[in-house]
Amino acid sequence: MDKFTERVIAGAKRLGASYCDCRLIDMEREDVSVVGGAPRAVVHAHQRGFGVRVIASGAWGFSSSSVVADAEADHIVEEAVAIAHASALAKKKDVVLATVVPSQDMIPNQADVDPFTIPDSEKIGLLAEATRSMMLPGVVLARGQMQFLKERKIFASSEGSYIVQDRVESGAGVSAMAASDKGDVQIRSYPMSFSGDNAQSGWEFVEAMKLLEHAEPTAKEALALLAAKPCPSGVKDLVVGGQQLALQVHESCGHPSELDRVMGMEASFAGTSFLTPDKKGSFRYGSDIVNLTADPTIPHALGGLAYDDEGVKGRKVYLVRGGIFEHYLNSRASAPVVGEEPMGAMRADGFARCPIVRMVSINLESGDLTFEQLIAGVEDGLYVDGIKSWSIDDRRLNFQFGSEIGWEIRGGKLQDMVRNPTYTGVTYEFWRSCDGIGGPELYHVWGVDNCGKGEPMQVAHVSHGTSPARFRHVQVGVLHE
Amino acid sequence: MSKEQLHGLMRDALRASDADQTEIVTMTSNSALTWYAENIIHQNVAEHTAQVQVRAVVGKKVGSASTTDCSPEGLALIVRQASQAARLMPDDPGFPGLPSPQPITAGRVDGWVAATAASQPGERVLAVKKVIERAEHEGLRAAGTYQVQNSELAVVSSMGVAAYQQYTVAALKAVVMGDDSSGYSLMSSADVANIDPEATGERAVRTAVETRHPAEVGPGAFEVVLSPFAVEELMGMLAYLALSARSVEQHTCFLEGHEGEQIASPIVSLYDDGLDPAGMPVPFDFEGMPKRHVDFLTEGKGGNVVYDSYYAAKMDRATTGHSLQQPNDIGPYPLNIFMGAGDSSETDMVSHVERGIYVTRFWYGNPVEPRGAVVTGTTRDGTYLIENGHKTHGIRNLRFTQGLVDMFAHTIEISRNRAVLASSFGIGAMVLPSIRAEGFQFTGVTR
Repeated sequence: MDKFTERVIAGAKRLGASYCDCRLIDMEREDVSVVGGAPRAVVHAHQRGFGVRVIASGAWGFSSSSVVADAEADHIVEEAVAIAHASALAKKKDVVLATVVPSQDMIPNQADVDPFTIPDSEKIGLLAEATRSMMLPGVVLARGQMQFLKERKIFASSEGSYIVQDRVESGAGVSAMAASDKGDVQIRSYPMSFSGDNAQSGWEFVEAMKLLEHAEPTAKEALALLAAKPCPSGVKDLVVGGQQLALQVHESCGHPSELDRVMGMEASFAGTSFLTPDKKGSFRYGSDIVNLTADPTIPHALGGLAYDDEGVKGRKVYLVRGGIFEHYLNSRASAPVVGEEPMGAMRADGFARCPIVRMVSINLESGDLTFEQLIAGVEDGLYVDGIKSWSIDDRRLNFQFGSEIGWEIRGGKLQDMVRNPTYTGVTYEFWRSCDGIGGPELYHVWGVDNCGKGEPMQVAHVSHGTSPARFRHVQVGVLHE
Repeated sequence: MSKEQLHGLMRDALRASDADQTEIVTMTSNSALTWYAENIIHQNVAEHTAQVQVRAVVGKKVGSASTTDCSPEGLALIVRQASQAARLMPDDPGFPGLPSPQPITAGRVDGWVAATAASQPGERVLAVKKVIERAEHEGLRAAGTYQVQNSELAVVSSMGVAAYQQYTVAALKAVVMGDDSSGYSLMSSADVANIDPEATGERAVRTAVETRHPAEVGPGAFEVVLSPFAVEELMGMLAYLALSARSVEQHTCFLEGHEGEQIASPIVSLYDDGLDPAGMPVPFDFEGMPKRHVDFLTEGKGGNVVYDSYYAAKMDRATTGHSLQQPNDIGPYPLNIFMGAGDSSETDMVSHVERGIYVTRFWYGNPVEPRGAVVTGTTRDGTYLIENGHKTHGIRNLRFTQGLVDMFAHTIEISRNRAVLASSFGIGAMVLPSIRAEGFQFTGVTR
């Protein structure tokens, strides 16, 4: 144990805490943004600080600071313990943590090429060339961005854990926005919407995207959408592309299986969950072919981790197996309530925030169909992909999602492109209607760096492995034009 | 840290810069939050953070860097890093240079209250207990947060900008749940003394009790009465979609090309005012530029959007003092949205509805079609059927898919009372009334 975390733990024990953990984090970020061939922003950010979580008088207290110094450590420990004592004024019972074996470990990052060694000029140059090639007549905005993170996190606990984890993340993407004289605006992105795709990898991940090759075709699709027909409205069979399915998994499986949410702890912000404990082990969430995992061990996955922010070693669990709801994402305090073991899903956004139950990599296991077979099985339907709009109710049951692009399917073949495709449904009805999932060759783990939860808001980096999949009898075309 | 100490530190760092122009923005925050659910406190946290952001300009090259290290050494290092970063950058031909100082109207604005800054965790716990006890009395479950925040924002630049403001925020939120119903309330103020836990709990509890055993109504077009909480969710989406120069650039702004035209009901006025003490004022933005009053809609006529210095230069306008921390991908942003007060009350509005829906709150809004500000989301925490001028009973939550421009055009009544709703950005607030509107589109019923 290092002297700083040792001081924190000793201080908490001296003040009567029955448990204490300390996370000391040193993190660098770089965000690069280019618009229409010109650099818009390059931001280098450095964060260093520590967070202290204690149990005293049977209740939680937490405090954090960006001043890493002995005197501040003493102050923060005192404050965390004082907060715990205040919390105890309203406790109904003492906090109980599931037992875990203390770990001492050192986890290296998974990058081949440290992205922070690549000059800014090279990053800007790549995005500038890509976005310039997207500025076709009718394209009003072409954006490109890259984001990189390098972090060393030390976790120490009063139970004897001392874990050092290094992490490197890289991500990038481009998008084109096209506008018509009639005021219609359409967007296409590559390889994924918003910040693009992200992974626990180095610069090699960005190079593998081949942004230059895909930039112009992406812009052409945005332009083509302006001339496309509106999304038809009705109940149709739906093939959902891998990107869009990542969102579907995220919103309709990942969030509702967070156990803190199930227990009502998120009720005041993100809401609760329809996956109540009485459904565990028996509720038909999806069809027989639907297998959804929480797996923090997938190499390079953005949601991967060796240990969570409680020092629990990450392990794979099936949230849904053979269509039946089986397991939750959990924590040391919540797992015992539903008879589970902690599986490594307690995560905090930086040093300043207290860990909460978060997604890791939540994945739909691949099936055995080719893309052509998925489409061939549809007489009258729609194929959609590209995340554009999402909304789901506070129990994660009723959703309405919009995609960047869609195509009609008739007679088992892709037909005309459609713009503004939307679909809506009820989570378990939707997943129960799944009758085809793409094979391993179509499988990709998408890195999502903007998952929000908690109060104060915490942003988590998560991921979703998906192949395209087919769903029957879905309401599409919600918005009339 | 005092204004003089912080500005002194930042000016010393400015002097260490070898860039042509340098700007330093410092935000410090001491905040605490008590988080409760299921009638217990499950998290109780504090954080003490500082963030220093530096922009260095060398010719037309701009470099940025940020740090959490607020020491003299940390500031000097980050200034050097920003300058080095600038030299490695290609020219940004569109960068107009850092803005020159402008007078800031500080006297009218005082958003800092000592009692809020000094509040203790025990006080928050006792307030939360009052909400919990009120809920337990009705056999209900309370959840929510009580947050207090004591922050500083300081901006200095080599152009002569020197701005400093302290501000405090206290906000108590309650979601009270029964088996098949829930209620919501939020109270926020710069002054912790204005937070009334009994009233907060009472409103949420009353809604949860009144909306028990919800009926199924809709979908379809309904006349609605929207509480200020519901209006806030919609205005939050509008701010992101359509009220800034960036939205004009992206052609998602419904005001574009309609300045002076009657595009909404004449009773609707919407504006941003960072100086109005009725909200949570901060008199300058993250470039140290004074906040200007910006009218988006004046008696239903199209107005302007907000600008920062970058977009002001790009579009040949003046900055309105609405920059977020630079650089950013959001663009200029209105943090102090007001909707003009009407002459009615929520009770009167409900009494004027023959058959309609009262919405306490919307949830998970997201744009569907940006140009018409068409957004979707669901109702939450207290949705009522209104019949013959009375809220008769609770109904199941509904999904809406509604154009906000269209909603403004069909707004027929606005309350004189407005709620102050602290921003989730941690700075600023919206000040919003209840509204009554015709033809609001509900497109689905939730289960």
